[in-house]
Amino acid sequence: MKFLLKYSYRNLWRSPKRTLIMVLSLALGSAYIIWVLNFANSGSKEIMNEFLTQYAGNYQIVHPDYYENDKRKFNNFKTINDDLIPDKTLFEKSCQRVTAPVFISGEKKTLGVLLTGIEVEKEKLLTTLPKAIQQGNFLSSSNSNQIVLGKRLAERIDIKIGDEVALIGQALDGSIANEIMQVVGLLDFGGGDFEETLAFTDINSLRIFLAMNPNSYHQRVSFDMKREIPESFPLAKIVKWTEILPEISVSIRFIDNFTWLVSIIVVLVISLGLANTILITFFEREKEFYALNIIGARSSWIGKSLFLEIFMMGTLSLGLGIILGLLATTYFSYHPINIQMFTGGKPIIMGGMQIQPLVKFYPVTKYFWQVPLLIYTFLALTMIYPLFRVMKRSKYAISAH
Amino acid sequence: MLKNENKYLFKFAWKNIQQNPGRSVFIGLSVCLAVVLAVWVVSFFDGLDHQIEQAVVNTNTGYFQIQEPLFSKTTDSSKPLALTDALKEKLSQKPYKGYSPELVLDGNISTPEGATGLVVLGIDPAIQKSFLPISKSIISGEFIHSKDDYSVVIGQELASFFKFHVGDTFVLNYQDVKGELRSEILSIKGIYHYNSKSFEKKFIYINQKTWQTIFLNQYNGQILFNRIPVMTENLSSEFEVKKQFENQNLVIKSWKQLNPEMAVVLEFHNGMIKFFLIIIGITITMTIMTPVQMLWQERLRELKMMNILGISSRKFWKIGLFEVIQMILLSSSFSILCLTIIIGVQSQTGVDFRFLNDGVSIERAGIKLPGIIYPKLMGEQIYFTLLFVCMVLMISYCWSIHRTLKKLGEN
Repeated sequence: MKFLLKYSYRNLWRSPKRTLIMVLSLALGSAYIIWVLNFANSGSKEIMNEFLTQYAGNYQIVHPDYYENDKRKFNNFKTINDDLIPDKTLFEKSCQRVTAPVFISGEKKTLGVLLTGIEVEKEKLLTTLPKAIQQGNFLSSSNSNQIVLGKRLAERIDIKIGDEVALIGQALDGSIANEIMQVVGLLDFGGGDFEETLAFTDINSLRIFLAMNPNSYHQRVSFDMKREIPESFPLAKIVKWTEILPEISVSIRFIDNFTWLVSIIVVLVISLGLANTILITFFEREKEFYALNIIGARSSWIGKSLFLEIFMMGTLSLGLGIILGLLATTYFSYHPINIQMFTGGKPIIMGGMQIQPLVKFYPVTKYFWQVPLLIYTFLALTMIYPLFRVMKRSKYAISAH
Repeated sequence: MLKNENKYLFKFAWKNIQQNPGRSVFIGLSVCLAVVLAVWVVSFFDGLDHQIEQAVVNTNTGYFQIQEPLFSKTTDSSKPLALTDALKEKLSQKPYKGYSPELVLDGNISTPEGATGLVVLGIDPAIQKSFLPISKSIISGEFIHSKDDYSVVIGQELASFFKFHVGDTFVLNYQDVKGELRSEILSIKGIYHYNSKSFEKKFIYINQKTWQTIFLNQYNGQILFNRIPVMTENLSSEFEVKKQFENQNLVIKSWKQLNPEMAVVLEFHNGMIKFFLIIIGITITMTIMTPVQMLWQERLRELKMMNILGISSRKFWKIGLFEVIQMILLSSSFSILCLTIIIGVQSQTGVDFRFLNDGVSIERAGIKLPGIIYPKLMGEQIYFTLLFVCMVLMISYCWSIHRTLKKLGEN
C-alpha cells in the first residue's frame, strides 16, 4: 500500500503544470461553490433579518382563531392577553400590537388601511420602524390620538404633517368606532405597498377606539431572531413569519434552490472537463501500463493506483478549495456585500417595504463538508469511464500478447 | 469562397479534429453542456420574468400609463381630461395594442360580513375590451354596457367575501368631487374571475356614464380619463411612447414605476443571471483549457516536422483558427439543437415549481406569482449561445496554440 501511494503520488507530479491546472480549477470551483452557498445563506438571513426587524417580526403569538387558513384574513374579535402565555420570558423581546382595519378620511378621499396600535417605546427598541419616518416624528408614548402613515397614503388623501384625519371602523363591541387623529409623521417604505396600506398609532389610543379591554391585544410580535421559535400554547397560537408572509418565504427559498442548482451545474461542468483531462492522462500512459502488466502488475493494481492518484489530486484540490472558500467567506464577514449590486443600485422592496441589507457572511460548517462530498461523488463518477477504458485496453493488450 | 491554400488548411484543420474524434467530441460536449445549462437557466428566468411582467400589466396596469398630471401626483380624480379624437387616433396606431381610458374612484363598502376598500373604475366597455379580457372572464351575469345605469361588474373574490350574487345591490361609500361623503346603491350585473385574488377583491368596473354621474355629479357625454393604461408589445417602446406625448401636459409611467417591488425582483434576477454566466464562463474556459492544450502539445512532433518542411507559424495559427471555427460551428449547432428541443418542449409543458409552497398559489405586490414557469427561447439567447461558444473556444484554443508554438520555437 505504501508503495502504491508513493507510485501514485509520483505519477501525479510527472506533469506538474497539468496537475496544477487541474488542481486549481477544482480548487477554485469548490471555493466558489462554498463561497456562493455561504453568500446565499447569509444573504437570505440578512435580508430576512432586515425585513423582519422593520415590522413583521420572527413570529406572532395570537388567539388560536385570530388568523384564518389564508393568513391575510383575520378575525379582529379574537384577542389574547399575557395571562394566556405561560412562558413569560418571551415578553422581553416581543411587543403587543392591536390591529384594526379602518377607513381613513382626508379632505377628498377615504381609503381603507390597517391601523396598528403599538407599544411605542418597546417598538423603538426592538424594531427599525422609527427609521422609516421621512417627515415629522415617530409616535410618542406620552401623547394619544397621534398617527403616522405612509407617504403614498398621505399623498392620496392629501394630508400633511399636523393635519387631522378621521378614522371609521368597527369596535369590538359591534358599534361603529370613529376618532380624529393628528398626523405626526410620514413613513417612507421606498414606494412599497405598505406605504399605502399601513398606519400606526399608540396601542392605548387604538384600544379605546376599539372599546377593548386595557390588557388585551391581537398580536404579540417577537423580534427574537436567535431563540428557537416556541411551540404553540393551549390558548395562544404561535404563527411563524413564513406562514404570515409565504410570498417572501417562497422568494427566499427560490434563491436558495437556485444557488444549489448553479453549484451543481458548476460541479458538472468541472467534472466533465476533468474527465476529459483524466482520460487523456491515462491514455498517454497506456504503454507504461502495458509494461507494468508484462512485469506482473495486475489490472486491478493499476486501477487502484490510478484511483489513488485521482483521490490524492481531489483531496489536495478540495483542501485548497476549502481554505480559499474559508478565506473568502471570512473576508466578506468583515467586509459585507451590498445586495444592491445585483439590482443596479436600486433599493430592494420586499413585502411592501424597502430594505437595504448589507450581507455579512456567516460561514456555515455543513457547506465545508457537503461541497467536498458532492465534488468527490462527481469525481468518482467521472473516473469510471477512463478507468474502465484503461483496464479494458490493458486486458486486451495482455491477451493479444 | 476560400483561396486554394486556405481551402487546404481548412480541410487540414478538419482532419486534425478527426484525428482524435473522441477527444474532440468530449471538448465539444463539455462546451455544449455548459452552454445548454447556462442558456436554460437564462431562458428559465426570461420565462419567469415575462410571466411576472404579464401578471403585473394585466392588473389593469398596462405596459404604460398615460396619466393626467394631478392624478399622477396624488391620485386625485377630480380633474379628468377628455379623450380627444387626436388622442384616440394616436392610440389606435402602433406600438399600441390596446388601451382603456379610465376614471378612478376610491370607495369602500361596509356590510355585516365586513368592510373593504375598492377601486371603482369608470370605463368605456367597448374600448376596454381591447385592453383586458375582463368581458371574456365573466363567470356569472354579463359585462356592463355603456348605457347601463348604476350597474357594476365585480370580482369573484369580492363576491365570495361579501356573499354577493348577480342582481344584488350594495352601497358604495365615497367622497365626491367636492369632498362630500356620498353613498350610492349599485347593482351587480356580472362577476368576473381574472388575475389574482387581490385584483378580484379590489377592482370593480362601472361605465363612464355612471362614474361621472356619481362622482362629478354630471355626465357630459364625453369619454374622460384620469389615466389610460396601454398595452404594447413590451417595454422597449418606452422612448417612442414618451416622445409621442411630450409637451402634451400628460405624464407617462411604465409598469416598473407603478409596481416598483416587482420591478426590483426582475432587476435582481437580471443581476443574478449575469453573475452566474460569468462564473460558468470562467469555469468552462478553465476546464477545457487543459484538454485543448494537451491536444495541441501532443502534436508538437508533427508541427516540428511541418515546420522543417517550411510551414510558418502564421499558417499554424491559421490551422488553429480554422479548427476553432469548425469546433464553434459543431458545438454551437449542437447546443442550439439541444436548446431548441429542451426549451421548445418545456415552453409548452412548463416547469412546475409549486412544490416550493406545497401547491399554494402565492401573491406578491398585488400579483399572482407563477407556480408553473414556462422557459422562453428567444433570438437573443441564440446570439448569446454563439457568443459564449466563440469566446470559450477562442480563449482556450488561442492560449493552447500560443503555448505550443512557443514551445516549438524553443525547440
